[in-house]
Amino acid sequence: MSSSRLASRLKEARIKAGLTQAELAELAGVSRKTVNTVENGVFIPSTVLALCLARALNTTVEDLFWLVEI
Amino acid sequence: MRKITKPVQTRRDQLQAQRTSILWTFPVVGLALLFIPWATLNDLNGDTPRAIDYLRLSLPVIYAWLVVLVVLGWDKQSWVNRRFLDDELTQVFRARALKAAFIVLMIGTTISLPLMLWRPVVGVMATIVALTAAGAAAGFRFAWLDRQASEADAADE
Repeated sequence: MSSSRLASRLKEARIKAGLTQAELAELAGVSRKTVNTVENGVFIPSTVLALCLARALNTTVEDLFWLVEI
Repeated sequence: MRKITKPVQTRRDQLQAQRTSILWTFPVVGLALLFIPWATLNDLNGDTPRAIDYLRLSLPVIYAWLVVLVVLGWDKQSWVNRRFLDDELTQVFRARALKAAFIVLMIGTTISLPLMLWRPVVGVMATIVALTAAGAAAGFRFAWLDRQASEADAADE
């Protein structure tokens, strides 16, 4: 596997959906802190959480997250 | 989309904040109680310990266990409120906290082993310190990670 990191447009998608972090967290069944740390790149979500976030925002995982080569 | 219920998030935040404050407090209490086994070992002076002495020797270790149980999510509060207190971020914090505790435990017991051979009483005390410090490390690390996440959270609100 080449060296890469996870990039995210979760924040943009959440704002576009008109949701606060707390509201998205509730829809995904996690804490607001979890959403915040994912948005800030502090925490890399599991596949399950990524799918839950995508479902909550009516989008796909690929639209929210992608790999950036470093 | 599911209906959003704000009280659920409030409850989640409250319970997680409660857990964090426990994980700051209990390790401090455990470390503060380390003088009790030290005084007990000095009082014993080679005599056979009584039941109360065993309890006094284990008091900080009991606190260390309480901290570890909270970090692992095996306490009553965590069992009852599993859906609020066992999300993915918590699992990451838990793994990092236990890693810190394991390193402290390995260092502590490695030091206490030669001490035990040199002077058994000092070795017993060193083992108690190692166990208490390992429990405290788990608690402090978890609480620190949670605090860092909360700071980022507050800055973003």
